[in-house]
Amino acid sequence: MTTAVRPRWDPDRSGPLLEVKNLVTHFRTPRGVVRAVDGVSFTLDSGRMLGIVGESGSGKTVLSRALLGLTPRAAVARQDGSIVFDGVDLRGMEERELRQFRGTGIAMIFQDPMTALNPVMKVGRQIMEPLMHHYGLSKRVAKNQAIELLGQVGIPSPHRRVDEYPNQLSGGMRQRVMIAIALSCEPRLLIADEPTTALDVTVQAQILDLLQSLQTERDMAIILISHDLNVVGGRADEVAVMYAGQIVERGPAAELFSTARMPYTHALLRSSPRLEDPSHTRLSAIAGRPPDLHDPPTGCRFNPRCDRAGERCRAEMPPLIPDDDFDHVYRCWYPVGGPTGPEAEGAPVGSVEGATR
Amino acid sequence: MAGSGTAQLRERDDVLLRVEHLEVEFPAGRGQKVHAVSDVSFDVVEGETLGLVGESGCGKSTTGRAIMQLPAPTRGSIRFRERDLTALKGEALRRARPDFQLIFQDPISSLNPRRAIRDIVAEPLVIQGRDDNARHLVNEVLSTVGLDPEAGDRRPHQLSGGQCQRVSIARALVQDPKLLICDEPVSALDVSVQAQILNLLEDMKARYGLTMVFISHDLAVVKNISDRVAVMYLGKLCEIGPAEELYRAPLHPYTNALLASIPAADQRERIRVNGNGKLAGELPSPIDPPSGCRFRTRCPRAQDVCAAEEPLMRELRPGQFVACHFPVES
Repeated sequence: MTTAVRPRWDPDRSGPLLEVKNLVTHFRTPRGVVRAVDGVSFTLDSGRMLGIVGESGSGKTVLSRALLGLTPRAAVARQDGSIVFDGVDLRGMEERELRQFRGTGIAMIFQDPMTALNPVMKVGRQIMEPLMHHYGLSKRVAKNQAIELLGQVGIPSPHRRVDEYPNQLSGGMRQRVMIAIALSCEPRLLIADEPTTALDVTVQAQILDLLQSLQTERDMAIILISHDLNVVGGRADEVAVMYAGQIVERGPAAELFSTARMPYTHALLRSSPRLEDPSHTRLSAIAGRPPDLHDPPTGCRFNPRCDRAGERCRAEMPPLIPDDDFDHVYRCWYPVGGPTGPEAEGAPVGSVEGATR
Repeated sequence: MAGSGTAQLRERDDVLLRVEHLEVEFPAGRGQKVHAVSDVSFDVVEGETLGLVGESGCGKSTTGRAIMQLPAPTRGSIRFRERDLTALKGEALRRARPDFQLIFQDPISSLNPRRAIRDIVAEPLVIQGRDDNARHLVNEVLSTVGLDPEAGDRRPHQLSGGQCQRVSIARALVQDPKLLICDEPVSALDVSVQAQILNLLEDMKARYGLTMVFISHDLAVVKNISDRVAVMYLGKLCEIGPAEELYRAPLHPYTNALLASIPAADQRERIRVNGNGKLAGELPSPIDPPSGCRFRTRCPRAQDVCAAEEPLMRELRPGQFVACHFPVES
């Protein structure tokens, strides 16, 4: 690891590293207001990994951008809620302060390492930039630091690679460079937005292993965002499932996978093919598709696709309800493991069936 | 792997597709060549689904396209029933085409954005001069793939990715093909939609009596849909065998490494089954592939003989063939 010992901002402060409360980000579009993130709350401690899972359009990427204040201001119709990082409210920060904070407090790596890197700048230079900008290091010192970082993220012969351009590196190597850039200013929280989606499965395993070891070594918190439940499930301490701009279930990874209560999580788990099942196993697909966030359904946003939904689900949005274990919460009136909506409401099962289609 | 040989080819009457010694090379400038596919042989019997799996650059898509003659392979033969497709040219090839159809990865960009769905699906019939009954056929096939016939009047951008993939499937099926080659048909789709399309492909296979070659990098998806699976690495075939056996007890070190790399909600269980056989290193260049076994530079089991001698396909378990000097013991 790096030789310099990094002072904690406030070692005596108690409480979570990151506390997000009721975060709302709505965008203005030609078709109306899109409720991309609609009331998201969670907390994250140092050294822990939170996985955020969701399909395209669920709001997971907008959420990660909002944490860093990277949402395009002109397009935002409504921004609300609080983001408290290490005791400081980021939403109250000026753009100038935020710029100092990005990279040193929270850093981010993106899905596509080719488009996120500058194609006409040597990779070493791209790692040196934040070091020179934030810490005022000289070129020579920064370059040595860059070489050391490249070695730490597992790039062979870093002395040679430091002077290469992104197109000379493979996809996996580029993602390692992105990670080196993100780590350069020793952030306390790393947000990884689909970091392995563009990579092959064997390279994906390498990158996820790397992130996990960095998390332990540096006592860094990580938010790992993915559409793939399995990518997140095997690594994260806690998992949050997003649907239509909201967190619909959250809990310790193992528990969420073994006893999903929200029908969406349950269906998502059963709709992906499993290696353990024999070939030609019929998949339980979720009918329909995610709602249009210009005009989300009233009540529970999953109700039009849910086979458990009853009258109450169409009328009233469920809050996040704690399971027996208080770390596990779900947004559902008729969770898996209990009666379905029609059963609980005493309606004949067949009659409601047609209405949910 | 990285091996050659034809031991895996079957002598049966119901072989629909037989690919032998397939080679595809692309010019890479300065007299160099990309060896995209090198001496690959396999067959598919009627009603079977063969999964073709491997990482990017392994030649799986090139193999699929070579079967379609898009472009025709550099060397090797592709027998479809009694005919060698590589010998067909021009009009003869065009007339044979309805029998083998391809579905692409990106459902939106593989459809003409300026045309109505109905016209896109009817186009193959028009080309073949079978358009008298086209409207009826198109409506029928659209509803078969789960689209409202009203969707026929829309354009691709008005549909979702999953719906566009249904249109691609409809466009292939309207020609009543025997063989359907699916090149990563669900990779661009969300998990919940992916399941819909995989189920649809199984239904269509049963309804139209299709034979399928299913190309994907996703091992779980391939296992779900395939009867047999072939694993490719850097233009060569590593291993081919029945899906169940190949996943339960892989013989090739590369197959094992692939399986060990799949992220799982329960990592410990995966490591118990496949060991911690994750791969180090990078894919070598297909312009100058390693001598002998092409996998040897990253193989934990490689020895001197692997560089000197290319392993040939051999049958180690009934129906399961591997090209490796030191296969994984079970």
